[in-house]
Amino acid sequence: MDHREDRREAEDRLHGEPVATRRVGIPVACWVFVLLAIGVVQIVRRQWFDAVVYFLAAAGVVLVALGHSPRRPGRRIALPWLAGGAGVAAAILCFLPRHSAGMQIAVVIIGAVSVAVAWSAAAVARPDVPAKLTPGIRRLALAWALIVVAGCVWELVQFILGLVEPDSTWFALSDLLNPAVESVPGRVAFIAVWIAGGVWLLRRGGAR
Amino acid sequence: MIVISAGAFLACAAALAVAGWAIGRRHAEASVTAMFDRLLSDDAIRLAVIVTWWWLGWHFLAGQTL
Repeated sequence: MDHREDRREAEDRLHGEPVATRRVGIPVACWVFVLLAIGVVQIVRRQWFDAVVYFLAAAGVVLVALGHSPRRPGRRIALPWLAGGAGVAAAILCFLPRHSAGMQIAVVIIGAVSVAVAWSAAAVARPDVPAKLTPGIRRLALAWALIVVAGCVWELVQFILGLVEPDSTWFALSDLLNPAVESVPGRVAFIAVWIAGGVWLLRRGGAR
Repeated sequence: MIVISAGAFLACAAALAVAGWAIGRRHAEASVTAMFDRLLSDDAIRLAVIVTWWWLGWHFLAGQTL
């Protein structure tokens, strides 16, 4: 920690503010890299909105890591309210045509609410219970990270081969899932899994 | 080609399940839920994960990207 950070902490204490995290650690830096990398892929795909989302997300993650975020509300969101809201959102999505303006508005609203809830940590199931990094969890995280990176590399290879040889048949994950999501049962199943996954993620967390 | 592409993704999914099962047997506390509790106990990482999750829904349901 350099003298500038020491001075900032001293100023924070002087003004009665909690001392914020001032450094972007390696785990956060890895996630920023992931967000930027996906953003670059979106530029290659000429999906400008998606690219902007990822670059803004990367900037937001850095700002939060550096402690530059507004004070969070103290109110908590109980599981019945979270699950109820998610169920209503999922039901609405099931009745909206895919890729329609209504679907886009609904998904953007879901995203905005989810980011707000995630930032506030209001839905975390056990916020006061320490989330320890035991050797077993470290090993599991390393194994999952390696497997997910391998899957992402395979996805990227399929995507690049599709660009280089557009006449050949290369199948990225989107190409494989798209026909299933196109059908009504497939779309309902995707919405259910996606929304349930979001609720599960919003409930994860703990004290450090 | 579709068999190879899909097979690779299915192999990754199976590997995730096997890794979770095998490591969970040796370390009782090392569940997928506990791992995500630790990962998402960081405010910045929670934001990154939620945006990534949200984009999957946008990509498959809303965006004119497929």
